[in-house]
Amino acid sequence: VPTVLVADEDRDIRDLVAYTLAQAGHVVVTAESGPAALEQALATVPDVAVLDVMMPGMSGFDVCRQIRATPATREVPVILLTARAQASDVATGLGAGADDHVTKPFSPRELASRVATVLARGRRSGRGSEGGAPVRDSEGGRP
Amino acid sequence: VTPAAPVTALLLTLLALSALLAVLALTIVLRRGMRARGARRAAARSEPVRPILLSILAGDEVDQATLGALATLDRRTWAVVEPTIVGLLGKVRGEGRDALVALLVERGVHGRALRDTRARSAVRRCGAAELLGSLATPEAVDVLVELLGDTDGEVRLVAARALGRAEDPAAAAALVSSLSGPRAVPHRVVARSLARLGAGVEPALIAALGSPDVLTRAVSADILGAVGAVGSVPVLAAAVRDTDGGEVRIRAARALGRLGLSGGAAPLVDAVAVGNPSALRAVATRALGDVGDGALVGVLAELLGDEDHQVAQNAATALTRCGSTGVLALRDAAGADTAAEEGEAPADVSPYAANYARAALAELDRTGALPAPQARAGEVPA
Repeated sequence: VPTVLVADEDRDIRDLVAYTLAQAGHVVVTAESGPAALEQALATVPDVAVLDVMMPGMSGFDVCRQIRATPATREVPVILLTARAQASDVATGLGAGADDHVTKPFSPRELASRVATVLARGRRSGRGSEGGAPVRDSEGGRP
Repeated sequence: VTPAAPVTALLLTLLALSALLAVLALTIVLRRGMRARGARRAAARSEPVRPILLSILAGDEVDQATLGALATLDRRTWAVVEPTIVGLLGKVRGEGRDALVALLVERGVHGRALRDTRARSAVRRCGAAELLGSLATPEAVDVLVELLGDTDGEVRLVAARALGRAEDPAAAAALVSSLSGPRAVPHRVVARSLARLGAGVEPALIAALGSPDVLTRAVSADILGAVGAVGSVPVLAAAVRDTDGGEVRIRAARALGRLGLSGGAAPLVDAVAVGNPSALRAVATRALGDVGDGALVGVLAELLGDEDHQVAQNAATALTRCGSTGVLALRDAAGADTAAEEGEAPADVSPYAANYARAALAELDRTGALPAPQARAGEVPA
């Protein structure tokens, strides 16, 4: 079962994305800040990370760069979930190593499809872990 | 009066002040405690409803009984659930969102907001406009358009912002009109809202480029570029060439660059000609780089030696975006001053051109985008 890291400061978004991906059959771990997201990414090495851009402590761009700079997580696909729709923001995200981006307001179903797509792409290219990773939640519980 | 009297009076005053401070501190602590308890109670009331809301927003099939249960929630529970629902509306799209809007209409929230737009209090009208922007029903958009002409400036501003959130291109013409007149809305707010409406705003903005108001024309040109209105290239080209345009010409040049179509190159080349305003030439030079057509390399290479330093600097940056021929032109310019000293090139080469070319190449190198030098046609590689 693929593990997905969902990091967003906004509890509503975090819970909604986690709920949607859990319904799609993924194991979901969550984080509410940049540092917590990075910690979770290093601890669980998820199959996909869905990161908000504007997070306290560290932006989604920086978390993405750190994920790419760490050998253990280098291959983890990253989807940025952002309210910043300008072309320059998208370019910054892709420059930071993100695989895809979704602009808020977003469709939960579309996000689930994007996650499925990057997972399939990862499987085709042999990237990402096989099977589920240990589940931990920075908030002590799943939504 | 004994000598001790003033001391006693001072002590009594201090005592009274201390007692007052203690009462104030106690009041603050009690109020905080009550507020925290209220928040806990509200959370306890809304928490059981939360999974249902998430399920609806995620687009799950929700049976009518569940929706019916939400529609008939008791008043106190609804009071704490409603802000959560309204808050969620602005964050998601899709069928789930539509279902929650229908629920808010059924609970009378939509009707209340429509009524509140006619309230005497500007604060209530602002609140209603905010809510209607989240609901984004056709009726809400019509009322928000009316609020763009409200007597209160804050209400007009909230209405303009709410129309952006509603994302209905039908509001484009009204938003453009709100840029001018005695009840104008700040242009940054209008511009941001127009940009959120997407490519559907193109007809209204093209029409607005014919407005007598300069600000209206300038903002319209800007947004046409921002929303990628590729059909607007001919009107933007005309705006760049409009010698009475001032700021409009600059915005139109920038928009043509954003669109990045080769059809926009000719008016930009005209705009960089010496004699045009300096700011227009600088923006048009940068925009030529955004178009990034290899056929523009000659024009940009010539601009490297321009007397206007901003134009020259922008030309160097623009050349980095014109592919391998642009980089080749930069390399030529970077070595031209040395070649001139050694008598291998014309002596009238601008030293600034070489500096700007070297700086642009260094920046490419720093970002890892500098290609390795290639042999020219006819040259034998070493």
